[in-house]
Amino acid sequence: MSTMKVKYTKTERARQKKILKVSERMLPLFEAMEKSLMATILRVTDRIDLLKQKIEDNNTRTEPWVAVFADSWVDIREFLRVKEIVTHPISVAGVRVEEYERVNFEESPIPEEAPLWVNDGVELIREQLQLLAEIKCLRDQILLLEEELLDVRARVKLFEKRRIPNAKMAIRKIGQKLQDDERLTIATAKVVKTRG
Amino acid sequence: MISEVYLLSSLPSLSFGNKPPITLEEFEHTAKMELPEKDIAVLDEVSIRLDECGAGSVLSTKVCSILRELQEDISMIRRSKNENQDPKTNLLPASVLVENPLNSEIIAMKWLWEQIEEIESGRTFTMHEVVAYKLKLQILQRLYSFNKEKGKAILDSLLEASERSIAQ
Repeated sequence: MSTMKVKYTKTERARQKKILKVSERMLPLFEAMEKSLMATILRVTDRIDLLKQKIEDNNTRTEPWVAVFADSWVDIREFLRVKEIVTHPISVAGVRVEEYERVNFEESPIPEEAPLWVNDGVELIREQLQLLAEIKCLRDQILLLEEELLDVRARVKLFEKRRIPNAKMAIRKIGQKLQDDERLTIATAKVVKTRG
Repeated sequence: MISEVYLLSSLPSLSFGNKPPITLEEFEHTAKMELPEKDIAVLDEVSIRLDECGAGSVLSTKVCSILRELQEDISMIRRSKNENQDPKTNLLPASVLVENPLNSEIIAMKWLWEQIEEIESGRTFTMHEVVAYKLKLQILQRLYSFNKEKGKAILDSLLEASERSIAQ
């Protein structure tokens, strides 16, 4: 700030006043964006926690019968594979992100002779994979939102710590200089008049 | 008859729910040493898996018939569940419908065990008992494969592999 070069002119003062006006108008907008992004990240994080809890609940619910996955008759891996995760773009807090829609699976039909538990097993795997896929999409959203948050925070800092104080200081300095100049002119004029 | 006596006397007894005292391979190896080829052929044809069960002898046909009945019951339950209807059973105990998947499998295997016991009932030291021994051993081996740690590891590895493919 100390090295800031200021032209001590009325035009420069007007320019600095304009910068101050714009900056003071922009700062609350960026602050609001920052708050909105932080709230959105928190909301997405909460959703991830909720989905993780669902996965945990499913694990707890499955625990009494998880032993069947070791059935020597069945390889459960044969029945279900993730083909693709379908998402669509949306705008969250002004950031373009991909929202989870569904998982498309590659499914092999369960043969008639397969044990009954295979249906329950496939359903459990399907649900867990859908939850994991949604978590993945939400984590990607958080990455983008955090990137934007960093950018907005840098702008808030720029306005708070540099633009506004610099403009205020420049206006004050220019004002003082112009006042000093004016006083000097008046004093000089008075001296000239007295001598005359 | 003598060979069946020798074979069955040398085998450890089996009881439902216990760890199989011998492996199927050990049983088949012992059986091959004691039984004539025609009996081994009968033994080879029977299995508690319908897709492995042949119908070349009266005994194996009987086993296949039980397995088919069990299969029909399971298919009926599966169809009802898929169509969101109240599932019913013809042969299996109704508890198979309300229990968790592990217990349902155990109930189905218990039902099969009882059917096998009917096959061998009153036929001590005959091929019926030898066949029943093999089938019961298969049931115990299957039940023994239901291992909590192993099952969890299989499920976790499947989900982790899918999670990795999702992340890419």
